[in-house]
Amino acid sequence: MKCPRCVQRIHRAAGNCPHCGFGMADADRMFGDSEVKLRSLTDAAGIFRRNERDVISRALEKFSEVFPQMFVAVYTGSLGETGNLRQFGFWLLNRGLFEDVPAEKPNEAGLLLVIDPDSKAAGMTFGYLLDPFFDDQDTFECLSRAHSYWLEGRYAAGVLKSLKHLDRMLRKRCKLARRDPEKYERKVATPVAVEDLVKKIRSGKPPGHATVEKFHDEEVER
Amino acid sequence: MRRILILIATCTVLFANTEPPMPMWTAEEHAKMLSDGWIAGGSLLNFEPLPEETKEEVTPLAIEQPTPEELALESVNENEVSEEYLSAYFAERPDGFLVDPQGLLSAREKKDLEAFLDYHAGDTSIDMHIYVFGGEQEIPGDVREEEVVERLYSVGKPAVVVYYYLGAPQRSAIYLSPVLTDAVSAAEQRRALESSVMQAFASVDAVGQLQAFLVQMSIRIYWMERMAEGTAAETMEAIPDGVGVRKFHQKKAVVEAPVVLPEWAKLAGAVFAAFCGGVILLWSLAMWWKSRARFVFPEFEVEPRLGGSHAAGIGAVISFSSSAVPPARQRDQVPDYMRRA
Repeated sequence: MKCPRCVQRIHRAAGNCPHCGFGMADADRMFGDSEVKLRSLTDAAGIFRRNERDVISRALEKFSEVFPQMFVAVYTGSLGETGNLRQFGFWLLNRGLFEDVPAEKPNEAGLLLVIDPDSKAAGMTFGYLLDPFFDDQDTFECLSRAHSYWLEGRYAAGVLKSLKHLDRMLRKRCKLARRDPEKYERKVATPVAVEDLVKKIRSGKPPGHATVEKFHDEEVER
Repeated sequence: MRRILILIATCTVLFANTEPPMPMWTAEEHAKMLSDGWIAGGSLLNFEPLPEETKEEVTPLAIEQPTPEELALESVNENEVSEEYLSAYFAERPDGFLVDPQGLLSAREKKDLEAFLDYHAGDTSIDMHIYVFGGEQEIPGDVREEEVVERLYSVGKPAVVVYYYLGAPQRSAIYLSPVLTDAVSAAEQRRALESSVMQAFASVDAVGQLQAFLVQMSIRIYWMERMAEGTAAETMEAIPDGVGVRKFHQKKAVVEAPVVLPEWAKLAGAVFAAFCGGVILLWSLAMWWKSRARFVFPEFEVEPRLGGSHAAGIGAVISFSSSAVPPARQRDQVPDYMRRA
């Protein structure tokens, strides 16, 4: 987990970046604090042709079918410096209201691909649903697949290539997550307070066991 | 006023139509010009009459007139098949199925065609004998084709005799052994011939035409055989011509490489085909299953951070401004202020 401004690692549940103090309020000041209505494919920069838009839309729909919890959105527009791309992605996925995405798919389940053809940079942001399963290296792998296409100005082909790799990666990750959910849960579990830790040690249970038990109980309830 | 205008117009027309007189040499001028030795325009303004053309007297050449014998020889058609070949053609029933005493076909072509005719003879109960003539040739009038067939093909295996004119398949003629004439009507014979000629015309070269002709005729003879046995329908009009082409390739392949696979090879082939089919089926099923697969992640409680209610998963940013900076050099995501200038 990294800060969108200083790209430094931040701890779970940090209200602001401990390094630079960045938070949602800063992003709101930069881009606005109201919700933005847009579609899952918004070509504000006008880099896609009509038929390319159709192809990408179909790919996005297909992704939503294969991953019923999730959706992917693609936004193109001019944002200025590359550094703002992370902050913009972070802000848009929090403030964006995707009209063509069903209500049962909140932005937590979203993946946002932002392309800035002017600064020639692209970034990827994902919601909290993927937090345990996905990290910035994975997004880097997806974007790398599109690099050669975007270098030639073939934006649509690059997006499709990136989506294809994302699809493949998420399929594998989903299988692993279904096989060993505890491993991924530990990544996002709330840190155990010191008092609780002492209590657990005294009761004879190893630390970290509580979260697994809690998950099992939830699974049984489901 | 009008009259005056009409009068002026009439006079103008009359004046315009009046040709000026031709120039004439006066006698003095003419004499002076002659004394100078040259008269300008003398060739045009010639007073002397044109000399009359002298008529050449035609003298007949002293050549001997043709004798009556020579005139009789001239009347003989040069296109007729030479008498020296007639006995080879029509004297007796030929040993082979291809009769070409004039050597109109090359040895290789003859060999291929004979191989096909041999195959045909082994495949059906009706032989096919082909008499090959030149495209312009004619059979002498004293040879009666029907009589030849009756004489040579009344006994022995029934046969279809074809007089084929190389390069002119439309001149071909077909004759059946007397045994077959009752079973196969003249209309069917004509249709068989027409069909074969049509197939022949699909080819350009003369030998190719002959091959196509023979293939189609072979198919027709098969149906004639069935008609003679009473197992075929009364008419063969419904036989598609395309059948001929397929049969040709099949038969030619058989003639060139008559390979008979052993039982174990057939069995191995069947097993291999079944295995391949199974693999393809399984693969198709796997693809179908894969396309229908749905992937659902387990949902965990994630505490919001940086004030973002939906997302704070900051992924990578990649620059594609220059091919000199490949993705491998951008793997370490650092803030801009930490990048080297």
